[in-house]
Amino acid sequence: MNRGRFRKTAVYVVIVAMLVVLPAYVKNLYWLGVITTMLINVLIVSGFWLVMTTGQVNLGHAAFAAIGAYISAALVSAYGFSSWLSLPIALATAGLVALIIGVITLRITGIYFIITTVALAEVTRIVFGMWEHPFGGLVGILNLKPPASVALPGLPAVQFTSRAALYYLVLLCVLIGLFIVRRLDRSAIGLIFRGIQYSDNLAEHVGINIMAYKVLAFVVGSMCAALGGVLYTYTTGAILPTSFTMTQANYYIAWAAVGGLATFGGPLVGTVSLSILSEYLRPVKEYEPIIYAGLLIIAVLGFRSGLAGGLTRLWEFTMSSARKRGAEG
Amino acid sequence: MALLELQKVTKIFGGLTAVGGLDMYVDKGEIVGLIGPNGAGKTTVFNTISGSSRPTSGKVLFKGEDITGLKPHSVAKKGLMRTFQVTTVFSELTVLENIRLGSHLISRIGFWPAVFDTLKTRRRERELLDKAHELADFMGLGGRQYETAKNLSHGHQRALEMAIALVAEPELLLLDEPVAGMSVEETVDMMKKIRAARDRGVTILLVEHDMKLVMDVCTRICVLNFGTKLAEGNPKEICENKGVIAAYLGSGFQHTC
Repeated sequence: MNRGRFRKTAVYVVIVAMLVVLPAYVKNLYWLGVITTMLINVLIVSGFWLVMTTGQVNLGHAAFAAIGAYISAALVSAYGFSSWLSLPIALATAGLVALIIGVITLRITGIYFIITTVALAEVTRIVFGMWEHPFGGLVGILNLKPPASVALPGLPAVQFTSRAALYYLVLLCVLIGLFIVRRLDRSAIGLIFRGIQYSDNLAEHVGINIMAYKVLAFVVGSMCAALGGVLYTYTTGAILPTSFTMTQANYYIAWAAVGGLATFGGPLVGTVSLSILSEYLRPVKEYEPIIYAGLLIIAVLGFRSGLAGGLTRLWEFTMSSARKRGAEG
Repeated sequence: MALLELQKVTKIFGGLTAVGGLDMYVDKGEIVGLIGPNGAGKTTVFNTISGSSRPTSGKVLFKGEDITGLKPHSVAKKGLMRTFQVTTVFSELTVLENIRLGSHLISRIGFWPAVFDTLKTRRRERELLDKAHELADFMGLGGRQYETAKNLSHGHQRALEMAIALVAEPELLLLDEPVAGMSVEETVDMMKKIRAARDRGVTILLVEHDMKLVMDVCTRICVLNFGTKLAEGNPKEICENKGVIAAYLGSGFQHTC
């Protein structure tokens, strides 16, 4: 038990270390940009998955990324706020919106909840598309400046004009977000989320206030999306009504399911591998949704534990055969 | 004062009166059986007590406190747990995780200590795990603690359900057909478990069609027919009650009461 825990921690440390030194090896700015976007998507998908652990599929998840991105961008461009101040305001706004929408919609379950969240996604897109000031209407908000430089006492000021600096900013924010999701999932609260997923009726009868926990997962998950949205405006310098729509949420489902829905690591593995795949699919870009749909169907029908489950089994198999060989030799 | 008291509880679905003005009580330490033909309103009575559905009129008192119309999680908090007619467990979780979820109300772990996995949280989680092991052993699930609930046999799933309901030490436990679909040996085993649970200090109200279990285990029986009380008394009185024989037991019913 403890050894397994140690091994897992070791895996995480290695991955984080690799991510920290990555810009030194990836000199191609295009690829660094791709990886930065991928990190943002990992965070958003992780939030999507957290809501899913309570048994609710939120197709309106991208709407919260849009809300985060738009609030932050509008505060910066129209009202001259600093990016550092707009970030917490955007997160708080998204959290508040999630709280209100969650309290209303989370009493609905299953397919009906999914339909409601489709409406949420569409309404959000249309509202931002129609709202000229300060959200820029159909044009969106363009030409945002990167966040202001940060001067820490005793250190040279950090400029966020380079891709590498933005990468580290995104990495830091994403790791904090993922850490929170991971901690929630591993705690007693995560177990309660699963309990609600497998039987909300029984969960309620053992004294769990299921609405409170569903709303909690929804708010935290949505704030992950909002943080992703804000980071998106930092890296791309723009936000359009079409940046975060329901199409995006379909990708979240595909990423999460192909990676494996059972564990925290699944959606991460899925997002990373499918993002890399999509880079190689550029020549046949218009067929990408079809390929994704195919993978999604395969994952749902025959490969429930996803890529992460496959990797875990492969790892266990290698370890056990290595142990056997060790025992024989 | 009765532990549980129903005062003129009525539940109407559209034009159907499922339960009509039922008066009933359960005293501390009793094992009370609620029997009657299909559709007599037994499960509806359970639902109005546990908060699954609000009675159309009437009152439910628990420890003298009015709990009518409270939500299920609030009712549970007062010390009243239940199981379901259709076996309900957290199917994809292990036996221990199932029982651990049942101990939610006694966990006493705050939100932030849970998130930050403090030493105190870990110690408390270990205690709760010990408790879950103890309950698994008590319900005859020893050796199956790490099995996924959906892979258990029907009898074991039923036992797990009861373990989930018992772990938080409720004062009153409602069992909805605890031995439905069980073999004779499993039924005998469950009877022992029900008595043992009572000896732990849990008062029990149960719905059951297995008359052997009801007559052997229950200290008092309440018979429902068409949503109203037909008879009430100890097993011997019920066995000999002409009205009950006509409505439910049948003239061929033989039991050594």
